Amino acid sequence: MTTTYIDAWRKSDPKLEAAATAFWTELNLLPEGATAAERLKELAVLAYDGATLIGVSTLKINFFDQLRQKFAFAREAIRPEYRLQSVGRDLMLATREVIEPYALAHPEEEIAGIGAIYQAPGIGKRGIGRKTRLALIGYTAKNEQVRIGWFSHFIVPPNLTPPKPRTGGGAE
Amino acid sequence: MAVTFVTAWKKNDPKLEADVIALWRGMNVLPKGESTDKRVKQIAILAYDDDRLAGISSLEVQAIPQLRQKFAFVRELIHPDYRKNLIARTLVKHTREMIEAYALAHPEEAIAGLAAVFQTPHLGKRAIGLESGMGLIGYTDKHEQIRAGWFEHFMVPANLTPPSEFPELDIVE
Repeated sequence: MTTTYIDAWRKSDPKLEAAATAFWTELNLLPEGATAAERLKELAVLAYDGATLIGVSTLKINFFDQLRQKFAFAREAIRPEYRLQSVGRDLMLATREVIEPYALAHPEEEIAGIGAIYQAPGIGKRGIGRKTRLALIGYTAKNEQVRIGWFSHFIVPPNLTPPKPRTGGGAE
Repeated sequence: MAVTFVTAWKKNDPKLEADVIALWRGMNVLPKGESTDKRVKQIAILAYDDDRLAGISSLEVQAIPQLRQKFAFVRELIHPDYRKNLIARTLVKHTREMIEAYALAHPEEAIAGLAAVFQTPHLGKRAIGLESGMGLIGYTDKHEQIRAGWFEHFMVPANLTPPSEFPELDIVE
């Protein structure tokens, strides 16, 4: 299988958005109350096997209190018949390769790295992913792994005092 | 200056231990009430400039409850005459290489990685240390950076429930 990854981040490309919407709808992946229009603003990478869309990643930028920085939290959806084939890992890697140069080119957004909550029990066997370089830095209240990959260009501000509380913070 | 790095970890070498204790006393760096005998068993790598001890790394294995694993916390002491020679950076690199190999050879100790608390404000500009591989994972109550670097070989146990045997984090001071 040769997988092709398409960068959709902040492209607002109608064709890619239609493909992602159809994918989410077909697989019934949008949680109750969530709309495709909202989720499309977070669209990051589409993975294709030939003409078949097999995976979609999205990114949501959140302030992460524990690390006092903003991170791009990734979510992935993989077509069921392609799971257990490293598609998720490679899609995460492709997503990182999209957002890291974006963060470097947009320092005003102050995105320090990529994050993810590992919800599937079979993933996250190593403390640090050999390909993705996402490191385990804690657990959610549901015992899911919280993973972070700092961007190599990011410089930690010398301000040692904690940030002011913000609404909507945290990894989830 | 030709600096050589000597592994002292678990060697119980009287000559190395005597050198370390002499440097600690000379610099007056042992906190009051701390046992020299206990502390000297934590020495890891020594940096020598010919016969002169220029730097010491030591390791203390402690749990990080946030990560649910044990990590080897590294501390370094560099003689003031050598603080501009980048010895600290090389010392931490050697310390990581040594303890990572040790942890791989001693799986029964279940040491998951290297960790540190950065007490000096000028440290930790990059979120991941180039030499140590330690990434920023949080802050202490005193706003010091807590760093941890997982060993490549370490496999996270599948048990997803929080272990009860880990006490609250007792950060190395």
